[in-house]
Amino acid sequence: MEFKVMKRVLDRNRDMAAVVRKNLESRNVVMINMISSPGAGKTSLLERICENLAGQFSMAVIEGDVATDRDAQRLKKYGIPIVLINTDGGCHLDSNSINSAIREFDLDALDVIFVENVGNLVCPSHFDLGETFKLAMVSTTEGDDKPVKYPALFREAGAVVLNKTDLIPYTSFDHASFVGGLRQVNSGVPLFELSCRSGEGLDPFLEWAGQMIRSHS
Amino acid sequence: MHEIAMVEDVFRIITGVAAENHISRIDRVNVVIGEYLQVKPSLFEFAFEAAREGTVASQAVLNITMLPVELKCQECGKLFLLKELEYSCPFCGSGQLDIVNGKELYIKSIEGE
Repeated sequence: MEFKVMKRVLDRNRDMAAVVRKNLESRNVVMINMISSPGAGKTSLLERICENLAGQFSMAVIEGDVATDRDAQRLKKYGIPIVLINTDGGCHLDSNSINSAIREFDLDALDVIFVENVGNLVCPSHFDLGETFKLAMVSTTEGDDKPVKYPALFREAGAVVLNKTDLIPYTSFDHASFVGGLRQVNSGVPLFELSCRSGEGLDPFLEWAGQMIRSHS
Repeated sequence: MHEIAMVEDVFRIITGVAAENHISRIDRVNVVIGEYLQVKPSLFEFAFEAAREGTVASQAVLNITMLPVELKCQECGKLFLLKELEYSCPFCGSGQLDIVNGKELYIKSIEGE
């Protein structure tokens, strides 16, 4: 006998994400969900953000890591509140763990929460955390085909960061192919090309991030 | 890898439905998955086979229906299916598109006694 079910899978994640989003919006807190593959430079970008924006905005970080607290340790010196979520092998953060993590913060005192998701281009893009927007990050050493191969992330991103531009001469990264591929999946998304290591191209990104935080908080 | 989290939720739902309807054995689970989610059916099946052990669905067969991504152009309003990940309108060339179908992820039905 067949029983109709017609129930959406992962509804629980969506519902909890809606709760988180409402909570953050009511307190004028922006949440930025940073998604990239491992080693693209999420923590390095967060270091640059802390150095440049921590004086202007009240910031907090949620660190998602498969294991270890290494990324959290790197950010400790900036003296901002950090909550570490170890997923114990899990390939993405979910809205339930974010809902628990934000209870650790004084939300009324915050302007922005940066979430460093687990390094992975596929799974995190399908789990809404209740963020204001997703920041997709990719580095030149990964190749120029990432937007076309992982369209869900690049389509849903509110902004895209291309990191390690200083290394382009040492790779076979084809810049025109990257931009063409990105525009193919998302014609309007803002793109910031920069190097967290050299600092090249960082200012336009920081200015834009500052504007985004101000306009929402 | 997100297949595992999806399958966990599938089991949470189907074991609940089985209990509500006094089903003691699930023989078949029919799920619908949109291609936009980049789910690999073989990984989904593998996770399903691992998760079904010791449950009311321990012998169940998984039937996956994949749905293509359907887009609607915001400029000319035409509907078309996504081909070769080309996110531009084949009629007017616009890149301003809405995803109408292809994000689905639901359990259509279960079969059992």
